[in-house]
Amino acid sequence: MWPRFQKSDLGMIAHYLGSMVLLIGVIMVFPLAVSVIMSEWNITGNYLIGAGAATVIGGLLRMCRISPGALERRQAIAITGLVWIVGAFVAAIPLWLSGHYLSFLDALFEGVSGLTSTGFTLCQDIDHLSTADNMWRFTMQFLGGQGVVVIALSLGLFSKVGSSFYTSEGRNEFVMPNIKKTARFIWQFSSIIVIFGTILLFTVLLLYGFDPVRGFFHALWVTIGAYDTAGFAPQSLSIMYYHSFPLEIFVMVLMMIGAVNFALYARIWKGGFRSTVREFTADIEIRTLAIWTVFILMAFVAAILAGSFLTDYSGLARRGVFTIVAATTNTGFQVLSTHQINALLSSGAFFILVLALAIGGSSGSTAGGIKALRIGIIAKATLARIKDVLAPKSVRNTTGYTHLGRHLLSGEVTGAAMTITILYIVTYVTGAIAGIVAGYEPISATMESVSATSNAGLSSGLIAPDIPVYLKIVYMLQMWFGRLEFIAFLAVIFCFFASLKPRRRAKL
Amino acid sequence: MRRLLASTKPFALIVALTLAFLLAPPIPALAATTTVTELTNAGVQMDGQQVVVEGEVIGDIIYADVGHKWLMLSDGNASISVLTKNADAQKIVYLGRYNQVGTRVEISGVFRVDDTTRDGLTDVTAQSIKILDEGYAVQSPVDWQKIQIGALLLVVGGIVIFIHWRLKERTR
Amino acid sequence: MPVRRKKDIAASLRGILAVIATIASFIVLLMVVVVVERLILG
Repeated sequence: MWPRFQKSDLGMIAHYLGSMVLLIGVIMVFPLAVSVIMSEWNITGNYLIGAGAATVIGGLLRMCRISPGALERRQAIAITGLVWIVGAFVAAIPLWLSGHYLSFLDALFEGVSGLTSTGFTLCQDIDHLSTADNMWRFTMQFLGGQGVVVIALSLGLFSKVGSSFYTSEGRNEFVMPNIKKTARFIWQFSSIIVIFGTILLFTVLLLYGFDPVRGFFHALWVTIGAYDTAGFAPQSLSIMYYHSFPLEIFVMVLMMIGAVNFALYARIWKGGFRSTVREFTADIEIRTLAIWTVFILMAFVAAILAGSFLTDYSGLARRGVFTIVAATTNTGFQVLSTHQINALLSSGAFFILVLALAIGGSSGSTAGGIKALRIGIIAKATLARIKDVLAPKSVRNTTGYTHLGRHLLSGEVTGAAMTITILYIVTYVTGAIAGIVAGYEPISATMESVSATSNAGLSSGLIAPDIPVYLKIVYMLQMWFGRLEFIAFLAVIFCFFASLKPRRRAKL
Repeated sequence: MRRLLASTKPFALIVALTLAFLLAPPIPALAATTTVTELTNAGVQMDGQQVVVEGEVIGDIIYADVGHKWLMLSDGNASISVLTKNADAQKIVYLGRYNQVGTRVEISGVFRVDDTTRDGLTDVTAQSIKILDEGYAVQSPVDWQKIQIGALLLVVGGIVIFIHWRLKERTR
Repeated sequence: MPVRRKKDIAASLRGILAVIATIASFIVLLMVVVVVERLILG
């Protein structure tokens, strides 16, 4: 029996969605200020309209429930499910007004890609995009990366809401006992990383000839793109634009920092130095991720060496490693051109990239994909099962795993991991079929589908403004599913349809 | 006799020219004029070829090594990295950005799809650079209509929020 | 809630930096793996 949405639920949902929309409108102050500072006066109007529209829409939505009471779980799930789409709609307004998007749908696509920290872009002539517009694209990625909800929580916007909000997001670990404290920690930690990353990259860019203003913005944007494992780039050449190996190394470190579970950082912060590295390296997710990355990198290199492109030492060490790190962390930054990936890279290497995107990074981080935790759990459970079969009947085996404390590897845990994994695979395949039906190459369509669902943003070049509308919608849905890890999304959909069915009269 | 001489002159000329043509060293093939988009989609058969490509210089001039800088050349659709000598790079006047149309140049150089000296980058190593158009700064005038619409929306939104607040106060 | 002492914050900071250092050395490891593999597979 699916819980139904009542009319009163809709009012609550609309109210809180309105608050989020209002928040997005307020955050538009950032790009607005940038447009003023950079004398991009023509753009200032766009953000004023965007903020204004957000205020009107948000205000009206909030009026759907004059005095909101306590939030129920299913309402919270619906809100965190819908905020990405409603938020993207509002966020798209200034982008559409900039003239760099062929249609509002393209701008909406960009909004979804930004908020879900995916990184696909449909921007036209990005090299002539205004500083303010780029600032907005990256602000969206930072917001989406840290979770719009987390920010709202840490600002105390939902004073009556407890845990119902937080756990409906992809993050299902309680980082710290108090929800507000958790949200604040994520917010503060991320801000500090972004500040330090920006300073670091700014220094590098200055040495490479950037002027201070552009150097600052690019450093900030690339840091956000890396730490939020998002993948928008300020220029069309992506990270190749900077031609800097040191920068690429710093970016790799930032990407991996962003791909680690926030909960782990919180525990380390609380725990102090002595237990740190041990706890970090004992974690099943970190171990799985490390082993998997080395394995997939070796497979990637072997596959490349079977072809004739990128077979030199420095090319492999520099661009090969970066590409795999960008893939496993689901960032999507490129140091190889789309054409090189598509046409020159051996098809085996291309396939391995798709696999790396599919598996993804850590849970509770900004990375996407099936997540290393589930793979680790499934792997350990499989080995335990084999052991069970081989052991004499009288012996009972129990296995545990270390992830933010020691846990039992129960059937329930394994079952949950497998269910979500299957849902991911089904989505990957469905999206691939959608692309194939539109006439695109199967492996290219598969990469795009996997890249969208895992919020990676590494593109084979398929996604462009001229693809059919239904395909854009499919990818937007996939980006949305992936960000929510299905549960919240599916719950909303099923509850919605259950609410449409007339209630069955009880038999007398 | 004169008639014979008269007719041999053109004939000799023809023979001489033919010999010259056959024996002369081959003229180097004219480099194919191509676009940036074509280059970014070029296959391995174009690797190492001499190319002539035209485009707008965008973004920033970035340090490559002691004697060279990177220019990013764009044709509005795709962009490519061009390695240029410092002296050539200094000729660039405007860089394509939001409020600037960059210097239009014609680059002639060697195209590489997999430049192993640059760790596998697709690039053009420029031998010569010709400035076609210096470029110019673009004014970004205030769009008063947009500002008015935006301000109006903010006022309307403000009113909505105010009404909501009053209604909320009343239900207390 | 007891106020965190400077010593505690320093320890926490060292913890985070240790993690970042681990990540950085992992990336170096990846590059070494690639070079060795290239050497072997030629």
